[in-house]
Order: sequence, then structure tokens, then C-alpha cells
Amino acid sequence: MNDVGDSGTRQRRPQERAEKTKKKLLDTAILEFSERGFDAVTVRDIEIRADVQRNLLKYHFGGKEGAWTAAASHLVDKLNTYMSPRDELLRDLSAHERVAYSIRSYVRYAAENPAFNRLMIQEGKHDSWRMHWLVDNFLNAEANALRERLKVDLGLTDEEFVHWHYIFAGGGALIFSMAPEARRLFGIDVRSDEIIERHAQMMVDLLLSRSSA
Amino acid sequence: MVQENSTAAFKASRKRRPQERAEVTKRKLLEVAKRKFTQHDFDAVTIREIEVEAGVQRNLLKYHYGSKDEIWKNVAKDIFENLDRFMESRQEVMRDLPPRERMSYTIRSFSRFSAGNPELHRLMIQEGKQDSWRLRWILDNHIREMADELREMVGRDVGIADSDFVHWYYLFAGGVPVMFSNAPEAKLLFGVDVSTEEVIKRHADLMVNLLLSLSTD
Repeated sequence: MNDVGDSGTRQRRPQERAEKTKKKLLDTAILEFSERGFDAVTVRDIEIRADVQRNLLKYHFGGKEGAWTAAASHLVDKLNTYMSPRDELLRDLSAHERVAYSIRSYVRYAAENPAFNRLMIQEGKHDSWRMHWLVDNFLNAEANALRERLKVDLGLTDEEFVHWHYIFAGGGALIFSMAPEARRLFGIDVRSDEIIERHAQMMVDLLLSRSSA
Repeated sequence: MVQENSTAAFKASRKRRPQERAEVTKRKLLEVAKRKFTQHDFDAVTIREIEVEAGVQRNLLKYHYGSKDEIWKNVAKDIFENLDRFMESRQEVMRDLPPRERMSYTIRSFSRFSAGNPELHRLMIQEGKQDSWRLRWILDNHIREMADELREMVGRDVGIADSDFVHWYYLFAGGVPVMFSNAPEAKLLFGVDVSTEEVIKRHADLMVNLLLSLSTD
């Protein structure tokens, strides 16, 4: 509130406030689109839930489509930073450990971003410009990179990879998307480190069992 | 084509018609509601929307189902009854199998069911994300009992510890159906039609292979 009294704050403050509003809108858009589905969400819903003034979504994102694209970009960028560590970090690992590292990274990301899997299920069930956006801007590159890595590291064929991809995507993330169910059904908090790490280990065991056997 | 018995059919239809029409309307409403509730959040779906898409008159949803809550229950019931029927028909075969075969048959069965009924996974994703009367309804009426049976089988037949069952459960419940639930994506991304027997079988093979190699010692 009263951080500094220098002349700089006078100029910076409105911009900071605008950034804050934008961030609030983005976080809310991620929740709305992943929980309710694109068609069911209105611009006004997002503004109200984000507690910002009318028309500010249009100002910051151009409209509902722009807000969706920003929400998806945000989730995808975050996943990319989790999944693509610099090569020099991984090149001294064994093939098995390299794949295990990717699996653990994905599980940790999914735990922190349950909206990602929800969005992928929302958008994966019918063809739309959003599905094309996801394929063109993210899924193609991600799947190609993973396919090549698994071909080398696990000897997976292209045909097998399709199945592996969905088992990886669904098996790694579902528990976190279903947090309220897991609490009621199993009495566990899926956000706890213990559960996240155990799930990561089980995923590694599941997907690498054949290669290590 | 049906000339010979058209008189008899005509006589019968005179009496049956209004009731048949009501049944058709009721069924249409349920089908549209199923699509809506598995694609969108419950709160985002309106009664009017369902009636309009079903092409039926205003207020007929209320007449046939009472309320939005009740038609949702009918949708969920329909989906889970399909699953129950599907699994029950396989019980007889299951009984005579050795433990690991029984497990693998269960995984294959779920895979086949998911391929034909992607709406189960879609409904669970819609309802699993927040605590609501609907989540409790699904758990109390269907999932809890199924999960308990599965826990017992997985513990006994493949040696998964009770404390690890929750992880096993979500690996199974996520790993099997997502490919089928995301069928249009799989088509666009991989050029694969996931409804073909070959793909369904390969998916089941891989899931069986992976889940049966998994054990906690």
C-alpha cells in the first residue's frame, strides 16, 4: 500500500492495476472454460467471477475467443516449461530415467494445473476451431517430440505411441481433475506432496514396467 | 413392404399412437439431456435448451421428468445401467477364469465399454471437479460399490496394496477411456479412428499389459 513514495509509483500504478486485472481475468477464464465448456461461458460470467468491471475482458483480450486462446496458451506454456528442460540436463541419464523424468514432470504439472486436463477433455470431444488451435499450437509438436523420444528410449512403434500417449495423458492427470471425488471416495487430498509423488511413481512403474522387466 | 398386416397394424396403432408418441418424446429429451450434461456444466444447461434441441413443446420436460435435477438423475442412471448390464453379462465368463485372466478380462471389458460409451468418462469429468449433490448421488448409487469390488479384486488378483489402490484406480479410470472420449482429437492429431476393432483391441492389450505388470510389493 505505502511501499514507496517516489515519483515512479505515480506512473507505474495504473499499469500495475491493469496487469492485475488482466491476470485476474486470465485465471478466471482458465477456470470457466475448463469447468463449464466454451459454449456455456459468457464474457460477463468471467468478468463477474473475476470481480472486474464490465467490458474489461474485451479491452484486455479482444473478446471471448481471445480470452480462450490466452487461457489455453497460458496452460500450454506452463506445461512446456515443465516438460522441456534443457537437453544438457538429461543427456547423462539412462534412457529409462529420461522417460521417468518426463512422466514425473507431467504428473507434477497436472497436480498443479488440474484445469489443463479438464480443458483437454472439454475440447477433445468435438471438432472446433479450438481443437485445431490446440493441435496446431501444441499437441502436434508435443506428440512428435514425445514420439521420437520414446522411439529411441523405449523402442515404441508409432502405432503403440497413440495408445501410450492417451494412457500417459489420462492416467497421469485424472486423479487431480477429480480431486473432490477422490476426497469423498478415498478420503485423500490429492494436492498433498505424498500423494503427488506416489502417483508419479506409480505412473513410472506402469509405463516403464515392460522395459525394465 | 408390410402390406399384409397393415390392417392389424393400423388398428393397433390407433390405440398405441399417443402413448408411443409420448415415449418417443421422453426418449428424445433424455438423449438431448445426456449430450448436454456430458458436454457442459450442469448449471450451464437449461430446461428450455433441452426442449428446443429435442424439438418438443415447452413444459414437456417437466411433464415427463419433473425437473432438471430429475432428468439429470435419469441420464446418470441410464449411463450407469448400461455399464452394469454390460459388466453383468460378462460375469458368467468371469467366474471361471483364473485370477490374472479375470483381471485382464475386466480391463478389456472396461476398454470395450468406454469405446462404445464415451459419455461415462465425460460425465465423470463434469461431476468430479466439484462437490455437489450430483457427485454424491453418483458415488452413493454406483461408484462406491464398484470401487470396493475393484479394490478387492485388484488386491487379491494382482497384489496391489490397499493404500495404492487409489492410484491404481485413477490410472485405470484415466488410462482406459480418454482416448475414446477424445475420439475427434485422436482423428485430427494421429489420423486414427478409435472406433475400429483393431484400435480398441490394441488399446486393451496395452492397458492389460501395463496394469498387470504393475504390482506393489
